Amino acid sequence: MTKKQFLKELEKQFSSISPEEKRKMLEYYSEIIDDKIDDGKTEAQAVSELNSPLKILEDYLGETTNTHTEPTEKKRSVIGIIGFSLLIPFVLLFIVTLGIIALSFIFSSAAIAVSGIVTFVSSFVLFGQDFLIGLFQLGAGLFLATAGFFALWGSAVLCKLCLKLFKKIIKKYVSVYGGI
Amino acid sequence: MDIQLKRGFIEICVLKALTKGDSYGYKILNDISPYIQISESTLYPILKRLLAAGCLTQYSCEHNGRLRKYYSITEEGKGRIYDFLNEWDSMIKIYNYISEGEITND
Repeated sequence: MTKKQFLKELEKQFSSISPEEKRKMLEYYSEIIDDKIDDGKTEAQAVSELNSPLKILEDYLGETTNTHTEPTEKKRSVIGIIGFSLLIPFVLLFIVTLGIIALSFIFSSAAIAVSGIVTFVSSFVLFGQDFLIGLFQLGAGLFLATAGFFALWGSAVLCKLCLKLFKKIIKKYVSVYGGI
Repeated sequence: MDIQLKRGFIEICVLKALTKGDSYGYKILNDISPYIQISESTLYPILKRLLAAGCLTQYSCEHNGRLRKYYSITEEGKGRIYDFLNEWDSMIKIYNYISEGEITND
């Protein structure tokens, strides 16, 4: 690996560190590699003697965060357990409510569609008695049936969205409070 | 060696390497590596911490057409070495206490 490639990889590995800190770090390694080359080593040799960018990051994080990481982790997991158990009824209630709303949408739109079809069919009987009333009934039936089917289609889309939302919530929930 | 202990030793070694005059990363590594196992990735955070603690100062100087960072020890840094040497007497006492006699299981 060349010096340039190494520094590029190092930069990638340190993407979460502040730009100022990253710049200092790259300067440090650039200087070390140049000094190794001045010492009579080839560029490839100089780079190969260095630790991997991942190990460098580990050493950096291990030294700069050292003893203060443990208590915060413990604290978070305690909060995690409390949050997890407290939120269970709310999350369940939310999911059940959304499910009921979605189902009611489907049923009511299906009902509109069915009533439309019945009105449409029965209009043929009315044609025998009064043409105008029959025509009106035919129109009303067609309108209701189409409206019903459109509503059914809309409810299906709504259901799909709800399902997606469930999955997202559960995923987020597990990622935040999981691992206990 | 225990990590905390080793870290402390490296700090003192880095400071000691600078008592003979200002130095730069690569030279510090070469000067202390015969005594304690150290790599570039462990030296960097230690330099950073010593700088933050006021034990070192740094400046850039041109060398072979590029900039090289030099470190110099401060009075604070020298004080750390004295403290370490003074503590050593009591550490030897502790060592002697721990190592004397046989270690039994009961």
